[in-house]
Amino acid sequence: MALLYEIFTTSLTPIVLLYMVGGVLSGICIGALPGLTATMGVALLLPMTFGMDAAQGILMLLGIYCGAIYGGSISAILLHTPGTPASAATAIDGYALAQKGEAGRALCASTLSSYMGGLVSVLCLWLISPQLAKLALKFSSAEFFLLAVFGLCIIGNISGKDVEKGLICGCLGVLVATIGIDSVTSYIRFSPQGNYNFMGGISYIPIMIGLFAMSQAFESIEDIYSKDQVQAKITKILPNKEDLKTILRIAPITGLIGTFIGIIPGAGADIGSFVGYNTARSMSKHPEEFGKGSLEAVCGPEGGNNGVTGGAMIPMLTLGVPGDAVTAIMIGALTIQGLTPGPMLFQQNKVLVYTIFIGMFIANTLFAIFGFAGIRLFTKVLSVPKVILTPAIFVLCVLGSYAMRNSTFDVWVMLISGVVGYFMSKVKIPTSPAILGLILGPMAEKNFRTALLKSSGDPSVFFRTTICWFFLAMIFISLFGGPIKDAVLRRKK
Amino acid sequence: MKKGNLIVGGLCVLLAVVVIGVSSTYPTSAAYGTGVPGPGLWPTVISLLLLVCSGILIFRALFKMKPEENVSLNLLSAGPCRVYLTILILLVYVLVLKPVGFIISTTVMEFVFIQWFGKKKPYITLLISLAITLVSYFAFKYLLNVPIDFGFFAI
Repeated sequence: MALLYEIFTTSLTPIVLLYMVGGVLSGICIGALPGLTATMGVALLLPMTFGMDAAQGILMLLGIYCGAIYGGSISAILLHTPGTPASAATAIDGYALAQKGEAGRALCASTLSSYMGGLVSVLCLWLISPQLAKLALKFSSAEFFLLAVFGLCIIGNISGKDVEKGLICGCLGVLVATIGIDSVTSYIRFSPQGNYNFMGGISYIPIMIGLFAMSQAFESIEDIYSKDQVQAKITKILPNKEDLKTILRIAPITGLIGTFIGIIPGAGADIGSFVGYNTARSMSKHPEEFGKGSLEAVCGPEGGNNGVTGGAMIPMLTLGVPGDAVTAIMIGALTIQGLTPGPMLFQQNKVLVYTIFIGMFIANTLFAIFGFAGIRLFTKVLSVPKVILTPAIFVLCVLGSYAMRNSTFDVWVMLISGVVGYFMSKVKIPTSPAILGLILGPMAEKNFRTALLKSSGDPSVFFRTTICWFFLAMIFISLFGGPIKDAVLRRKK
Repeated sequence: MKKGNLIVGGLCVLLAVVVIGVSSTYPTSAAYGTGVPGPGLWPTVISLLLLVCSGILIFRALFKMKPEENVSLNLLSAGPCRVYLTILILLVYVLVLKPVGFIISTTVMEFVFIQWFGKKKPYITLLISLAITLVSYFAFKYLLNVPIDFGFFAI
């Protein structure tokens, strides 16, 4: 009770709520605009948090995150173009409903389902995080090393068909992170003599802005002259009893599944959305209607993708391992505030942690309120011409990367990352593994070497505890689980 | 796609070899005498992994790629050419940003892009460019305290 009092008097102040409102509103607009993803929005607006305190900054970013994941469904339903990859599954039946003249019904279902999914994930965040943080307090360098390696192994699972491309991207991220002064021996690596920009290491924030925002802006230049037309008029925004029953039956379950997908490092809202779609189909009494305008097919993915938001926060807050690309950027936001995500955060900054929990609940509630109240207004955002929006994104990318250290070197890093990201998308190389590599690479290296330093070079330190063996098993499963399962299935056939 | 994969694989092999070469010049574990691996070990391990993955990528591109997967990358069609020109303009913009100053260089950059893509009346383009520049300037300078008043024509 005393903690709640402290949160509401010191942390969740009216100004913080105002930042959250701003974050949720801009998140919905960013999500609704095709081509602008939640990751891009959070990366672009991250520099805005530099002048804020930790609670203000993180809660604004959370508002953007939750708002953008929900906002993606607006253009998915009205334009058949998912605003974010997380709404790709929603576009299938959402647009079919809009074509039947039921755009309002689809939007209402997506708003309520997103809210339900978000609420379930916040509940899980609240229940699981403190327990996981308590367990993580028992981790030493060896366990943290194996945890980071497990996170890096996940790259293979999120890389789609071409696993080697994802791994190449992850390796590049890890290698970039080795530039500069080595944290264990203070030896300067891969830096031109006397160049302080390289010696200090390359910050991953300009790289993220480049890979996620600038490269997407380049891609939108390719079809800058294409125009999207809103297909349907919006009527009947509130649900009827039948629809409400459908939403309440599907969304909490897909939200729960989305939460667990979010916990897996690297698995994002796009995966949660498609798993949610499949779950809804398996729960449906009319699976044959999927693809032709089924309301259940809107509830499933929307519950699933918003479920990921809280889930992705769990490993980020408790272990310092990002659940997805957005939470990777949030690690950057916390680091800039002088905070280190991980179990110690629960010991030293309990108020901030619980402020984040309550803040996530408020962010979800805000987008639901704005979703119902301002849906007609948000659809107007879809008419902002790309010819103005894209050059404005260029300016934000430049300023965003400059703002962190007031350095034009970071602007160059951002621009080069943007160009690299553009060509990577051309050859179908996923960019998210680079971020995992940039964050988990230094964590793995530092803990690997610290563990060996403590054990005087004895490698058995990585096999001594049960937690080590648990992570070794997880690493084995993530690396060989898929091929073994395939082999067993082939033999059965 | 095949060509693209081969180029990516080749570049990564080259990078991995260079990193392994440079890392081999760093002090080894013995130099520290504490059991801690030297600063070159981690980059070497990662480069070896990069080498293996690049090898697989090249092998698959050469021998395992189905004809239907070998789609053209269209790197010289109108869209990508527009992107290359955009990158060139942005390179010039970042180069002149510090010496010329934020407001003038950004307004000119915005004007060039909006006029190029939007083909609006020049005075409307100028107004939009100025609005974007000034809003971002004041937001970053006064709300976020980012010192962007640099350059010869700084305000």
